[in-house]
Amino acid sequence: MTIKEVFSFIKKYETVISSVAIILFIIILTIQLLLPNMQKVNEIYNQRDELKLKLAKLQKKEKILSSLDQQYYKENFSKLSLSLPETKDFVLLFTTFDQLQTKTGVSILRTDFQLGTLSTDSAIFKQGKPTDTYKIPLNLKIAGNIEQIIQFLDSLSDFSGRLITINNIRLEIKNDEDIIAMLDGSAFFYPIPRAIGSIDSSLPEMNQNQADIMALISRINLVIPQEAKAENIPVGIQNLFYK
Amino acid sequence: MPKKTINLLIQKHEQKNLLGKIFRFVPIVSVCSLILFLLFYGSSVVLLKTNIKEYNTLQDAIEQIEAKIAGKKNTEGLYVSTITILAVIEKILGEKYHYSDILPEIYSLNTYNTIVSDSTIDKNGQVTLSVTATSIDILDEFIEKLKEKEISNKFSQINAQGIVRDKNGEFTMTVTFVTKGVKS
Repeated sequence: MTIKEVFSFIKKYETVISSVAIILFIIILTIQLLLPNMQKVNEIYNQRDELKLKLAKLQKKEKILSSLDQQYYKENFSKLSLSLPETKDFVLLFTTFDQLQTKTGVSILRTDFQLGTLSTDSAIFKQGKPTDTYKIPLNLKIAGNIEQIIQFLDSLSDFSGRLITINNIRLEIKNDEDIIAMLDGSAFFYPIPRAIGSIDSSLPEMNQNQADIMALISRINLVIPQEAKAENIPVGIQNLFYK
Repeated sequence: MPKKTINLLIQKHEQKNLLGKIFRFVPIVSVCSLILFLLFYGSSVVLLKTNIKEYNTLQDAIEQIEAKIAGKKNTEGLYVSTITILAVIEKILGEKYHYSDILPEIYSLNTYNTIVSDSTIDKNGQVTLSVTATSIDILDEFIEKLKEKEISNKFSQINAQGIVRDKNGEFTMTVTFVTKGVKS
């Protein structure tokens, strides 16, 4: 086929050839431009939906945080920390028993704590779950009358001191005024995780039982030890040359 | 002899028609596809720009609210820690046994004639009593008293372990039973 014949062929079928060229060009443009564009639109549309959800979540979180009474939580947190401290704090355990002795009138004849490992630093950095409570097994021998013993048992979990539960009681009834009770129980501590989660993590919600405990604690008047308050951390001598 | 006819022109005519039809439709298809492409592409560009604009607005709103939340980090830490401690306390109290509800019941079994000398109560409500009485009739009365408590739905599964008579003529019996409904 000569060039002349090719030209005459093109001239004869120019409409068809140009149409086919346009269709091919459009197919290429669709693959190169339209499809990636549509894909991008779809991606952004999905991401926009995710952002909307995230925004709603953050708005809810911000609303809850704005409505919180920081002072109320600060005071109650200090009280809660006395019932469930971060460390074993055996000094606080003895203080609790001294207070209970005075309050209820029972005589504590013997206290026996199984303190175990004293370091709890490594536990502090572990991510804690509410089930990871740390127990301090204890045995108590107390003497008093039945009312005093009942009041003592009630006071162990009334948030006036360390939270203590009793697993087993052995009563020796000598006479009406002289009952000896041997108590096997546990005190608790809970190292709070230092990390509070990412900024978009949702806040845990307080259930009815927890709200009741919180209301009960807020009604209790406790003398919080000065060292337990964050603003009273000693910073040392301000001026070394002036006493 | 039968007459035979052969049509040699028809097929050639049909082929010509088909090509003509194709040649007629190809330009129409190309123009239509060009218009459709322009329409779709234009729409996709508009859609993309609108979505990007909305995405950026949302992103800005999120950044603003994140900054607000970051400013309340102390409150968040305090709240999360409080809830964490409350959850632990709730769990501990959930497993607590209310001894103060059952102790008066056990103490009331102690009378002038029967002495509950030794008793053990565990957190599952299992009670073991050691009762001393001056006579077997008094011990029998004590058992009746326990049965009354069972009827009033306070105790269940009452079990007497055995009776021992000592040198002084006193009878000692060990009883086990389960107390009801005192777990929080």
